[in-house]
Amino acid sequence: MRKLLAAISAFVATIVLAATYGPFPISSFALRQQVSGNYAADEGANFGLASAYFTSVLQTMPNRYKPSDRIRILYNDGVVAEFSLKAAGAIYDPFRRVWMWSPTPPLEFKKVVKTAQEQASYDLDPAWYCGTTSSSMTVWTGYWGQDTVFGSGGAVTITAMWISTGPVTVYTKVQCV
Amino acid sequence: MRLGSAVRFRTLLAAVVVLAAAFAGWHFLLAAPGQIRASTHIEAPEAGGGPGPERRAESVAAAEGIPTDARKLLDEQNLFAAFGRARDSQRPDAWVIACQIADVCGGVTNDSLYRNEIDRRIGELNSTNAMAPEREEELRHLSKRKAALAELERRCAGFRGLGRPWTLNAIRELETRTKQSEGDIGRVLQTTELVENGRGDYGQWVRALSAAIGSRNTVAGEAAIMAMAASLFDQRLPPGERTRVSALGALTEAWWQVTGQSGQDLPALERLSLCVVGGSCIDKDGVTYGSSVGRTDLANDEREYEDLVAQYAEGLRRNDPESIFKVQPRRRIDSKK
Repeated sequence: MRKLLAAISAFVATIVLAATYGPFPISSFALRQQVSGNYAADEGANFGLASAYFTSVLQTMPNRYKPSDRIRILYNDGVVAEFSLKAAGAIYDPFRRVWMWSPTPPLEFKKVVKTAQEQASYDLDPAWYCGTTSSSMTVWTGYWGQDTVFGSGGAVTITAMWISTGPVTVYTKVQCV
Repeated sequence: MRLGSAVRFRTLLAAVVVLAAAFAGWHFLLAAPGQIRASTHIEAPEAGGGPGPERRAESVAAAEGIPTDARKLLDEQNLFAAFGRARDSQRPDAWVIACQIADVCGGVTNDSLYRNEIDRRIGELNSTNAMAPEREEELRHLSKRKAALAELERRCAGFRGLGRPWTLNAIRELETRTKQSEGDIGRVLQTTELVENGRGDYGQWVRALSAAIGSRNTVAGEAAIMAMAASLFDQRLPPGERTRVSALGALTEAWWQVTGQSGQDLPALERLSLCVVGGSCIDKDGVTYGSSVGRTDLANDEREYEDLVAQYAEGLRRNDPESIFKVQPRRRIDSKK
């Protein structure tokens, strides 16, 4: 009986996580850019690559992106790097009503997500919640939507943008067996 | 004889010039002690944190002269000195402004992107047979952009040669310090990060936003505006639809309206940046955009945009972040057109 309860609790927790963290459409992206370097070990190289790519995207579509937007860039080797756009790099043009971005790359590196598939399985793993007894937390809900496709032929980068659905307080009560 | 007189005259002239130069240098040192002090002790920032104890006393002295509204630093002629004073001060609002200065000046002095782009376009126009009046108009506008760039480079001259890594390190160090600071700005940044990472208290975050908006500090208020960006209605639109409106732009205009600011009174650094980077140049004749750079597709949604600004201004006057999050464009304005 206790096992059944635990399984049900874990299932409920899984549903909450799926609703707040998923889906992850980035895993279905097919076109990727050829890059080299060890992302986990070399944040600088990672930052440089993303800046080189994304600065040109910002200048061509300045109004699409705003300070604090979160973006993920998917590279050829399956690595997904997450960045946010810094307010310090943005100036609002009240005459044309667009955001202008300064020449210093306005990306703030957040983290490397191992691969989209691994990340999804990590978030959906009920074992992750086991050990947590009773708690509440506010989560920034939303999903990653495909944003831009940059380049053509062999060297193509796709960015995903975080689409927020707002902050939600999640209450969990999971009993682990 | 004549040769001897000439030599004596030259010697006398040289002595007069040297004395005049020495007097001018002494006079300059007396007239601008803050600037000299600030610009001589700035070094590349240490990897881990703010100034050491022995530098702190000197820093406090250097910080004298930071205006109550730290944004006024953006109007200074020597932006490197302004950056140094702001960085060495004990005020988080000044650190935010120091970041902004480093961001623009570091970019302008380390990158010839805009100069190359302007020169290339001038070259193209000079070699084409485009309609003369249009070409003249664009050339006039390009010369304004070029002048703005030269002015920006002059004000940012102290950053020349420091390099991009130095700039990025300086910005990163200041951002970390600001985020860890106490006070309205620090609390906004800390609670925003916690909520975004799912570890925060939503109520605490809203209270931090409200305190910053209600404070008399413009920089703290702007930090709150930026922190709200991720919860405005356009963040919930699919990426393809987000270009139509800029909720954060409307909120920024509302903030200016409520605090009695206007796009015409932007500080010099922002005014020059807009002209160089975006092509909107403000001078005594008004604002010019250049023939190739017009207003965005928002021109079609002018009334909707103005309505958004009014809704946000109301939320800001009431200092109610939650009502700001609920603002939506009122579509019936669209359908009336």
